[in-house]
Order: sequence, then structure tokens, then C-alpha cells
Amino acid sequence: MTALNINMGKKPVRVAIVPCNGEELCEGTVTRFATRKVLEELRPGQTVTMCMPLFTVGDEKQRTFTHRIATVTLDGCDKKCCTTSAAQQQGRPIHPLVVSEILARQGAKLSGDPQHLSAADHKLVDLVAEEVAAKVDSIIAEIHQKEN
Amino acid sequence: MLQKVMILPCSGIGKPTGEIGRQAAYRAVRQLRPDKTGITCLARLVIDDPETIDLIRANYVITLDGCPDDCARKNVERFGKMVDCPIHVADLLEQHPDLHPLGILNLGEDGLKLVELMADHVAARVDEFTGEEG
Repeated sequence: MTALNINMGKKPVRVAIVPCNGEELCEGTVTRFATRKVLEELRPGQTVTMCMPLFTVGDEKQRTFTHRIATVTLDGCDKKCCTTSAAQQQGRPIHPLVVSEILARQGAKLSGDPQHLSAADHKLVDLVAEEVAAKVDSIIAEIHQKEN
Repeated sequence: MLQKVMILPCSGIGKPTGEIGRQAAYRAVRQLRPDKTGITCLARLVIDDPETIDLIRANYVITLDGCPDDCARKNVERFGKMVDCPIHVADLLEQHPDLHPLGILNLGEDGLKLVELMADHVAARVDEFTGEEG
């Protein structure tokens, strides 16, 4: 007889992805598209997001919406605004990723236009999204390992 | 005297109104009023970046917020700078109930029409502050 593996009463583990959304740079636009791709296509049900400016001006519930869950901060550039802001939320486990660093490792370059991503830019969105999804997987695996 | 008009969308990632505000800001700054306007990352205000704080204090500011949380306006006003023209993108959608954005980032034809309308509205406000058209 085969044993059924039923998740009794346990809440599913979720990971927050918070992009910087930087308006000045193409990399900022990439953080938006990559985040939505992970949320909607690559890891639906396992990921949530929040608007980064709520870290400073949201009410307590909004600011602590992802407070206790692991958070991938997705910054566009080395200024790392999102990571810096998330780090000010005490108790939040942060896993920083930076688009410019991911692309530099791959030797890839964006068009530089933050208003309209080109077809080539969208391929790099996919690349960044895959890296974010892999980070989500490793965080969830680590959490499950600690629970067992 | 204030110099340019800084256009700050809200960085919203959960609703089409965030993307409409963002695209309207780009259109106003890059296509419609490039000599009179500028855009900067709202995230820099969130981390209290001194250069960005100086920038908003030295210029007129128009904010484009996608929801009632008003993240853009509130992040500007944290530094004692009153926003010269706070705009709610949702008001535009109410005025045009026939136009339905397709998705959150992929706005579709209707969403892009809303972007154009919002950008024109922003450009008109810019002209009011700078005292000239175009």
C-alpha cells in the first residue's frame, strides 16, 4: 500500500520578491518584469511581492507584510536601494540579487532604454527571472531542511 | 526659483495603474517635455539619498500614484517638500470606464491609450508650472 504524503495543517512556504523598480535605469524596469514573471509563470503560489516604497510609508501591516518570510531583494544597480531599505526591517531574512551583477556575470548588456524593453532585453528578463526562481527554490529547500 | 519639474511615479508592481503612471512619466519626460522635466528613482528617496532629496527640493514635483497608499507623494513629503501636483492614476480610469488595461505590465491597446491621456495631463501641469507650452 502506498503512503499518501498529505501536508496536514502546514502553511505552504512562500518567499517574497521585492524589486527596486528603479525608474531611471533599464535595469530597474528589468526588476519589474522579472519579478512578475516569477510570480505569474515560474513560481506561482510560492512567491509574493510588495511595492518597495511601502517599507517607509506603509502602515505597520503593510510594512510587516513580508516581515517574517524570506525576502529576495532584486535591485537594478549597485546602489542597492531595495536591499538597504529591506535591511532596516529588523528580523527580515534577506537574499539580495542585483540585475547588473547577474548580467555582468553572463557578459550580457541591456539596450539602456527603461521605457521600452527590446526583444533582446526581454530575453535577459528571462535570464534574471530564472536566477530569481533558483534562489526561491534554494530558500524553500533550506527552510524544509530546517523543519525536518 | 524652482528649476525643472520632477515627475515621480509610484513604483507600484501589483496593479496596472502603477505601470500606467510609470509609462506616462516616461512619455512626459522623454517625448513631450524633455527640456522642462526629469525623472529619478523613487527608491533613492526611500533610502534617504542626499542627492535625490536635494533634487526634489530644488524643483517642482508631480507624483503619479497608482493606489490610495500614495507611496510617491508620501516619500517626497517625508523630507518636508510639498508635492506641487499629486495625481491619482485611478481617477483617470474612473473618467474612462470604457478603457480597460490588459494586464499589470502588458497594458494592451486600452492601457496605452490611458498612458497617452495621463502623459498629456502631466504635460499640461508642467506647462502651468513653467509658464509656457511645449
